[in-house]
This record gives sequence, C-alpha cells and structure tokens, in this order.
Amino acid sequence: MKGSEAREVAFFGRITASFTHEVKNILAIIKESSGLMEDLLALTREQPFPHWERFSHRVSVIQQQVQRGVGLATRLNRFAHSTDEAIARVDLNELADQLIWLSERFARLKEMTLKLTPAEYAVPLDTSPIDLQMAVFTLMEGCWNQLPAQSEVELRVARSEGLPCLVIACRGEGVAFADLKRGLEASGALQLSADIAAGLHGKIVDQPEACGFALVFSGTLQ
Amino acid sequence: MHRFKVLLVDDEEELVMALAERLQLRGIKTSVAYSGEQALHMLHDEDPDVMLLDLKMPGMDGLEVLRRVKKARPPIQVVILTGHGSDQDAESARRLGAFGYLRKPVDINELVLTLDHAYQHKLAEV
Repeated sequence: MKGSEAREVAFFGRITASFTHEVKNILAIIKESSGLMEDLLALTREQPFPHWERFSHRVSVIQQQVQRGVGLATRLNRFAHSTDEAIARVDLNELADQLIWLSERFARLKEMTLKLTPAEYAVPLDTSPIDLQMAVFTLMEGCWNQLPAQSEVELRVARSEGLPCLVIACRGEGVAFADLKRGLEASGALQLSADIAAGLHGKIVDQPEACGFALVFSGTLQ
Repeated sequence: MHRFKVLLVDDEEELVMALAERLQLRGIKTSVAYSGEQALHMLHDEDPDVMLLDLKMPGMDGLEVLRRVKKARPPIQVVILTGHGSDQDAESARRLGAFGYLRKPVDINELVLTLDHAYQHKLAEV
C-alpha cells in the first residue's frame, strides 16, 4: 500500500472506530432502559395488566436486537482498529471469527451458510491485518458468488506443513471443484485474492478434496 | 435494606440513571455523577463503598479520576465500565488499582456480582 493510501485507510478506520464506540453507548442505553422496564414488569407480575405477556415479549425482542447490534458493533470496531498498524500480530482464529461475522449479511443475501472451524491452538501471524482480511474475503465472496443457494462456505483455521493457513471449503448441491475454480478464474476473484496474498508472503493452493482453496503463508511481514 | 453504596460516574446521563434505578431495585444504594470533576467533589459527602467509573468522558478522563480516588480515598473500590476500552486501558486501570474492568453494555447480574465482590474486598481490607 502506498503512503497516501495507508493514511487514508488509517483515517477511515479511526473515524469508523469512533462511531462504533458511540453506537455501543446508544445500545447500552437501550439495553439498560429495556432492562429497567423488565425489572418494573417483574414487580407488577401479580397485578392486573391485560397486555403483560405482549409487553414482556416486546422487551425481550428489544434485548435480543441489542445483543445483535452489540455483536456487530464490536466486530466493526475491531475491523476499524485493524487499520491502526500497517503490520501487526494477529491470531488467525480471531481474524477468521471476525470475518465470519462481517461476511454474514453478504452471505445471507446469497442464501449461503457460513461456518467457522477454528484451530484448537493459536495460529499467530505478523501481517497486514487489513490486507489479509481483504484477501480472505475476496476469496470467500468469489466462492459464494459461484455456488447455488443453500450451499455452505466453511472457513477453517489450520497449519499446513507448519505454516499458518486458512482453508475455504465449499459444500452444496452438485458443486464440483473444477466448475468452482473456473468460475473464480473467470470473475477475477482468484487472481485478485492471490495478488493480495502474494504481498503478504502468501499463496493460494487448490484443495479439490475440500472443494475449495487454502491460503498458506510462508513468511511474516516485518 | 441497602447492602452498600455505589457512586456511578458517566457522562451518558440516560445510561447512568437507568443503571442506578436497576441497582436500587437490587438493594444497592446509588448516587450519580456526570463528570469526573463532579465525582471527586461528591466523594466526601457521599462516601461510597464502590465507584463505577466510565473511562472516556469530557474533561477529566476516567483514568485520572481513578488515580485521584485511589490517592485520596484508597479504601473505595473502583470498577471501570467502558465502551471504549483497549487492552492497554485495561492494563493501565489495573496498575492504578481498579478492582474490576467491564465493557458496555454489561449484563446486570454480572455487574451486581462484580460490585458485590468489590464491596467484599473493601470490607476485607479495612
């Protein structure tokens, strides 16, 4: 990334992070206000109130949606903070978890299911967090754009011959690896992801048995 | 019967008022301050057992309030409640003597438990 681009990305990240903090404050106010309504409702449980059940249900819906909003704001905040440093140490498990959250809406619109399979151990990598997320997202998006509705895209964290690695595996009705790869090549997603990964000492390896690809990183950025 | 007294310090007035009411319903006496400066002025009159303190506020920030409280009134236990905190902030708060560190929005049962532990810690220390 050029110096001016890096500054722009950092600025964008700083402003976004600040706004996510404010969103969390708003969600906290809604949460505590609805929590107080719930407390007061509980105090009147034995008194006649014809709409008690409906009112109580709405309060619980508010709280569920607050939880959803908090989850998204927290991930967006982390994403924004991933521009704080050009190179930083990331755990691929945490990064993959974040990417799944951030990708959820994109995948839902394509009627895809996303699945995360973390490694049972930490997989640290010194890299550009923003470029790494872009490489993985581009590849995942390329896959779900080729798959039929109701398919599943799995993001798996692993080590391949000792090297940090992210595997994208696809499952769906009539899905064949050769067709998937052809589609990704034609759309340009495979090349774009490979170009970004190359800047991170990474490469894309075919995984026909998983009907997908692995992003393998053979070195770290300094 | 109030078990103990908490001073809530946050510039988000609606949040701090709702939290104060919820804690009162659970038998905890509360008072509120909307800035670090106001909280420090209230210490003598209110004499709280525990302070629930936001980190990022206009004027004096939470870490400075924490530093001054622990210097002036060491027995008061301070629990940080923040929506902004980084890992570095959490470490700074611990170094300055904060009893606990929670993130907004917090589960009310977790908050009550933490405040209760902070109060027990104060009793054990004095």
